[in-house]
Amino acid sequence: MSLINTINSITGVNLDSFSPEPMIDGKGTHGGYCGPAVKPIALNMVAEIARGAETRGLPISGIGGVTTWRDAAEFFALGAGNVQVCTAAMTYGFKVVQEMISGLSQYLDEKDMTLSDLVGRATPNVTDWQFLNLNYVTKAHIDEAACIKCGRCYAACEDTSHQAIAMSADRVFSVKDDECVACNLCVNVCPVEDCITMVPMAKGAVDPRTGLKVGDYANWTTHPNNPMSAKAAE
Amino acid sequence: MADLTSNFIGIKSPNPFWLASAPPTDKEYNVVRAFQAGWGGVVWKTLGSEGPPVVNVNGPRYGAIWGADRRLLGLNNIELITDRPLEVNLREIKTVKRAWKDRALVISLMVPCDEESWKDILARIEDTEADGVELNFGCPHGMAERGMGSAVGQVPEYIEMVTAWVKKHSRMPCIVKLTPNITDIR
Repeated sequence: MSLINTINSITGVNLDSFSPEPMIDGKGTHGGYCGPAVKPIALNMVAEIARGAETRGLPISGIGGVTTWRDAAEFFALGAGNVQVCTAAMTYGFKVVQEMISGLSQYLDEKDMTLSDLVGRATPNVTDWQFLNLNYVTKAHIDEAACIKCGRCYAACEDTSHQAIAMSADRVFSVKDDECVACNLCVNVCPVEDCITMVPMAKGAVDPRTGLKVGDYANWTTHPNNPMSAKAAE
Repeated sequence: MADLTSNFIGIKSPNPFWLASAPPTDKEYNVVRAFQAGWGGVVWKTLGSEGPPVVNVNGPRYGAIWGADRRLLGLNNIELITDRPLEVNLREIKTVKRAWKDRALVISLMVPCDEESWKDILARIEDTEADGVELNFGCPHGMAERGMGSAVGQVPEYIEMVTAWVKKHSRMPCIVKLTPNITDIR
């Protein structure tokens, strides 16, 4: 099978003529959405097919926003045997494939992998939420040397997250480990790549937020707060 | 240089990068240029049944979403399946396949939801010596209103029925293209 086809969409509304875009004589209709914006949706659906009880093992041709060799490699890693491309060719011309070929080739050589080694390599790592390790504890860390003092992490954390970033009078930003839940929002809004990173705590260390030691793998299915696990224990 | 040769359900191509069924694969001129550029395969833009082709709008077909740097992030389109006569497409497909034997050439199809229509088109497709077919169950327009495309793709039983017809009337490899406009892709 191949997936995904396009997603029903309206890309915008002209606020002078009050018509949806693209506009035909004042009217518009939904069209098929594609390109880099749909890649996350496509990756999830490819993964769901690749690991689904009834669908696993079926050959998958991955489609949805592939623009670079890296995008393609992600589809392969989640189980696609090949990829299909459109928007990247429409945006950059047919020769865009040459970078995909050379990039993928170089990556495989660097990893000492074959293309078939790559296919499905990440599929076993796609899991359901309840199997995620609740004892994987990380804390945000701000690299003061890389920080441009814009304050976006502070605004995001203070206003909409866990009030875990402190700002000094001279705009030095630091993480309060006893408040940080490791949500990743500061990393996502920071304009400087790798300035803020999430650092895992070592096993046995005490999380200053919870006062608990970082333990071995444990997930929600056996957590005491899970009514289902309590029932199973009875 | 790593070996990128690919074999997808028996369809061989020099690399795993195919052009999807879409405006760039609607005609010989484009497909030949794509092969010259190095694409491993193409899925030829969707063909419909014999008869007067569909017509497209004569105004904008594409809408776009841009990032802050005006890099294109998303594109949407209201172009229908091919608007060129079936015979023209079939003739061009045959010519291209003969000239580019090492590349994958798959044909996207969307015909009315009855067995005869599928049987008829498959016979004509086989004559082109193309490598396989892809069933378009996701096109949002033109055909949904006539019981084809995404109208079929949202009903798993229809997909199963049509796919069975294709396997019954053709020995070609068959790719079922899924629409994401549902709640559970499985």
